[in-house]
Amino acid sequence: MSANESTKRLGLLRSLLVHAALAVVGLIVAIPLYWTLISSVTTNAGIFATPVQWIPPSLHLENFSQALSAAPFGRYFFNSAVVGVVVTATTLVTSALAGYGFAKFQFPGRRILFVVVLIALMVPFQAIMIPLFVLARQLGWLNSYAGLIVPGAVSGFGIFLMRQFMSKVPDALLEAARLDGCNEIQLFLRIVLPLSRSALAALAVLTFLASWNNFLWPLIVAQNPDILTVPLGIVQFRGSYFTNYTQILAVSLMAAAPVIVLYLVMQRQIIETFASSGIKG
Amino acid sequence: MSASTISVPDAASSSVTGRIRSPRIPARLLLLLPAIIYLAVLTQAPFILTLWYSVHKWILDQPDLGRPWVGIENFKYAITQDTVFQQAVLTTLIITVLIIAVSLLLGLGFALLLNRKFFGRGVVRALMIAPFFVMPTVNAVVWKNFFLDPIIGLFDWLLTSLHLARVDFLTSYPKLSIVAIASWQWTPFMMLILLAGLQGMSEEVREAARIDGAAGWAEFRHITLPLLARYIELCILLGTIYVLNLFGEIRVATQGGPGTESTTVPYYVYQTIHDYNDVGSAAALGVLAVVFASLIAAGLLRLLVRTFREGQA
Repeated sequence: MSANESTKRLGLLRSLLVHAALAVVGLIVAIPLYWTLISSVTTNAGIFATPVQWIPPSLHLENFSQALSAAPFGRYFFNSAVVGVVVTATTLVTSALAGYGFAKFQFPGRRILFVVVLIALMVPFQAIMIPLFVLARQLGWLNSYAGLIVPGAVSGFGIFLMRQFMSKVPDALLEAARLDGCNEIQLFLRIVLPLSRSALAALAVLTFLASWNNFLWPLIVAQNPDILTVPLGIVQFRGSYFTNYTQILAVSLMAAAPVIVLYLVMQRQIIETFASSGIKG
Repeated sequence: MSASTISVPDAASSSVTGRIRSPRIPARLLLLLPAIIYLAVLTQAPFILTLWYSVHKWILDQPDLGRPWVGIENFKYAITQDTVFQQAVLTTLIITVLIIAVSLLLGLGFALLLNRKFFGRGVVRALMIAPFFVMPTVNAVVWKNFFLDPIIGLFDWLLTSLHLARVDFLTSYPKLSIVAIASWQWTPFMMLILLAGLQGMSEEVREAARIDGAAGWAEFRHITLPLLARYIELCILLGTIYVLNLFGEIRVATQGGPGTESTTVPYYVYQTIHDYNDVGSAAALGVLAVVFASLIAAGLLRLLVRTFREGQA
């Protein structure tokens, strides 16, 4: 009886401790986020008030519209969106096709071609950016969408991911569909693609995120204000309008919005993909 | 073709496979060739060009010098004389290892906590993942100007409220500042992968372990950790690939400084091509970066395998 009670008490103590730990850790992550959020709707003076104003005395939502007109951010968002959407679309199509080829077909040179993919996955960008830059310069692609898009349009990681995932589609299913008179294109579109939905979703989010956040390559190829992407725009904005802290934060929040929406829509598929990629290795 | 398929409806499917597969080889190659050729043109061909450039002296804004062949001169200089590069290699190593270690440990802790059922778990999880979606450059801007600033930063407010001495973090501890900025961003990524691993783990295995007397630390060490090994490997490999290329944070927060104290290999390659227009040296540094990255990846993998073998023994 008393032993039972003491284990109960111990259990309660443990769960209390766990929850306390959770609360502390949650605060560490949450405070910077919360601070960014409130500071984007306060005034420049309010940001640096001591003691810190944890609840802003008044809301200044106009920071958002003012920030958008203080620099051509509309243009930057448009540029980032064009690059992100095109890169994501081409990556998905080519990764799905090539991944399927590697996963389900035997052909001469398969190993060598897969090594090409693995090398592409492993070579760090700094090792290839110089020729890419020289090439872009010679082709007149500096300050152009082509210059921003072309180097990222196909992904070794994407092909690798899709191959891993599509290997798990049972061969028997494909054979059965072939026997039922399904041609190769129908097979791919109606059976393989739907079964790979979660991996495609994860790849879409990761590709868009990488393109949206990309900083190094745009920094090298884009200088013209018309062609800047959002991260370049924000860094430049910080340099030239140093006092407009609230506006920097407002734009920063707007920059995170598309990615967060994309993630929320595809959350389940992403977690599924991580879970299965770990098991299959 | 279709007649033969119909005439052997129940024949061994392997023979059907053989018949359908072999004659269509060229058509099937079409599935992958466009993507592979593109990849080869955009990654492998440039890498070969990088090798070619690296044995030449070529400075973009001095065209009158031409592009003379210099053999291994660029490499020799980088390895034996270029102290900035030597320091950059060390800095990259330190920063990468610390970022991976910190974010992996924190991510593991968060994942273990979030794997329990409690009120408001969905909200807490969403909150924890949020930093991963902040642009790295934005993250660096916010940390530099609002958190780490020695006069108006949030940390400064915290220190002065506690009556502690002021610290100019980015000047006094540039490497650790970069580690803090990047870890805040990478912890959610690690957590996400590890949480997926934990949730795929069957409750029965743990239950069996508990009946066998494993609890708390023992349960974690002998049951949870070995089962998570693959996910931890995935975290470290993906993390290393990305963190070795860390650039935006350094460019925004410290610009490699003070001096060259937080200059990493990618940042130095960028400086060499962008500020000095020195294609030959930058190419040599890029090649060395590949060698360096491969060594780290190989070393990490070996370390991992050893750790997990010991853990399971």
